[in-house]
Amino acid sequence: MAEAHVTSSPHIPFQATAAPGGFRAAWIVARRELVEQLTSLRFLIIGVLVLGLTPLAVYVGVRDYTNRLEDYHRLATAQQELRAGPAGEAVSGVWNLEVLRAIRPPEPLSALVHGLDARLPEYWDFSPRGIRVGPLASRPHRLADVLGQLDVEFLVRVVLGLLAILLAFDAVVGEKELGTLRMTLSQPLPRAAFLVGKLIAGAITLLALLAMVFLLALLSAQFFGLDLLAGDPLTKVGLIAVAASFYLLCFYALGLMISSLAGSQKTSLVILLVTWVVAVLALPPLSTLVAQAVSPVPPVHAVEAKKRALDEAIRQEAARAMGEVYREETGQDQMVSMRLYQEHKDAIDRRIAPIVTRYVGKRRQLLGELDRDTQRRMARQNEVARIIMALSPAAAFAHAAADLAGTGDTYAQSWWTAVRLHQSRLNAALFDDPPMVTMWMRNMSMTLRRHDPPSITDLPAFTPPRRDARAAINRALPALGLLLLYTGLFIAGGFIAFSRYDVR
Amino acid sequence: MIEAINLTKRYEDGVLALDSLNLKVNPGEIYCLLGANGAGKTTTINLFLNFIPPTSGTPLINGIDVTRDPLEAKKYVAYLSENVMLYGNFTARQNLDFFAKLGGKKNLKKEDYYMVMREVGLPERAFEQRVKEFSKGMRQKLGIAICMIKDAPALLLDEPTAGLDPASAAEFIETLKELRRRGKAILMSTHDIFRAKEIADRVGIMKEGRKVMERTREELEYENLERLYLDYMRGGLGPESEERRAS
Repeated sequence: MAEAHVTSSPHIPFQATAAPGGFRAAWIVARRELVEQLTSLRFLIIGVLVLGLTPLAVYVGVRDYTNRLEDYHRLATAQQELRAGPAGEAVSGVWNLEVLRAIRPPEPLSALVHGLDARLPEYWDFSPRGIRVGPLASRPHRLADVLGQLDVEFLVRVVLGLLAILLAFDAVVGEKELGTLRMTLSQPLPRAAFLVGKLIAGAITLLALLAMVFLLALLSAQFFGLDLLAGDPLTKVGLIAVAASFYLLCFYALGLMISSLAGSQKTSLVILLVTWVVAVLALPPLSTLVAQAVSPVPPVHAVEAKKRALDEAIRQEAARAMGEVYREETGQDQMVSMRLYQEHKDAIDRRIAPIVTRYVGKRRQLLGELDRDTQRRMARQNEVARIIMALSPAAAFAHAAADLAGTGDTYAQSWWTAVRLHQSRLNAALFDDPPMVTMWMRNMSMTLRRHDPPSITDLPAFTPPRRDARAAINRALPALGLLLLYTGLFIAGGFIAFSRYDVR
Repeated sequence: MIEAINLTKRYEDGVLALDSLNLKVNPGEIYCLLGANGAGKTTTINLFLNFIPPTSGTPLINGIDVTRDPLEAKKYVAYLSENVMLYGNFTARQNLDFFAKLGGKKNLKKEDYYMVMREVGLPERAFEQRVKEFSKGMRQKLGIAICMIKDAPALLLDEPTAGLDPASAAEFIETLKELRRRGKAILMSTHDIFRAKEIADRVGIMKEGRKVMERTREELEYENLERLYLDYMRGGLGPESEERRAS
């Protein structure tokens, strides 16, 4: 027994039973709460809903993924055939640049977390003018278009997020209104243990359902023909499930905090529902809209058209300068002839070399500025969107899940980085010293073969970004950190609020 | 066992809910606090349960300062409110089990719970019945069963007979007498002058946060408690001084 601080009453020989320790007391509260939650109507309804929708969501995802995989195989086969043919032996000019194409395979985990996978290009082409973006991987009339963004990530973020709130909104204030809080806290129960008990119960309830959702998703994917039950995909699914656990715990802790601050159950429910709508439904699209307004990025086709026009202008300028060299060296300005070129090849080549260098340099400078401007705007847009979305744990979870699945913004950025790097390597190896140039004289033009083009095997191979689980974790770390921060803040807020809670 | 020393509570809005209350409830004694709504009865109980901190003064349970060591103090006290509200989806036994475990009881068997519920007069059919189907009287009985299974030496009862039918109230009073016989110190707030006179060993009348009068059972044999109460409530009498009380 603890020391009696002030004693003026007679002390009768009563042997008090040892009150349960902090964790045991919390577990007593948790067990009761757990039974209450698992038998509640809200849990049963949402549980049935989410478990019913999971196979459907996975079916949509697998169908979409296999369609895109077919497209990928078709493109890859065509490229293989091209490489095996004459175009594979020599790369020059513009007619066979498809042989250099970087084709992006679809991500298997996009069946569970759609992310941006279908909205990224199927491939990128490399040309002297720079990167040419291929069409988006998404197919028209996909089933996903009909069902919207229904995927496992959506079910967790929206439906289970709602369940977390519905389980927590009355956890404290509900007991106060019912009168059980006074009864419970009249026992030798630390307030912290009461809240820990509530947290444990909520965590077990939500994580049990979450585990069922992921297990069902994996089995459904297997049933529909996509094997995610081994290796990296399984590790990544496990990591997504961990991120989802933090997300649900975050919303549950938020619910406990609001429940410990609100004056009534109704107030608590209204505050939490409004927060849920803003954080889960409104903020992500709003962040994109605001970011687009703050830093507009011109459409890809507009940039491409501008680049084509610029390139055409400087190419013609260079072609005319080379035509002038031809005229001066051959003394012929009425006709162009390969025979005359061969006769004066050394002199002509020596004099057009600096023109080609100037042309390539100017092209790189002007088109590079255009590219860099677009990239700057895009980076700023992404930054603004990320800052706004950082206000929402739901957005943090969506980012983390997509980054772990390899369908997120960070993964998309890593593709762009790899593509830009490859373009610069091709510039050095091929485009900066074109094997063929065109010269113009009056209304005539002639394409000169300056030297033999390099073999395809001599060119650098495209290196796609890493897709392993470790790389996925690195990409998802900022979003995961944010999620943990929110969870910690809400748990701490809940404890502070409940330590001062007026139980009367 | 239960003692208030100059216990004072002033709320943030300036309202003085309790003004220098001194009282003492000894083992085997029932102390009834009488008073109108807002007199400070429930505030007193809230202070003993550490639901609110006192502005000054000391609430003691078994000699332990509740404000300094509330968890230790709560081992020695059981509480019953006017409207005993329990977990409706749980049976009477499950509720009893929950609160018994929180109170530190271990290894209790189903029969132990049944025995206590029989003792307070709950019908056998109610033992495994969900509490949401209980009448108020049955809930009060289950509430007192929760107090009894804790076997705490001090009991705080906040208007426990309010709203009970006469038969249930009479049964309840009999249970309290039994608890007194077992040596429990019982502090009970009530509006019911007649029940108070019947059961109390001492009665305190509270008005506007102050204890204006205190009488023992023996003293009340020569006085009319109802008339005293009404006189105080109507403002006809001022607070009794210690000297006057002593004389």
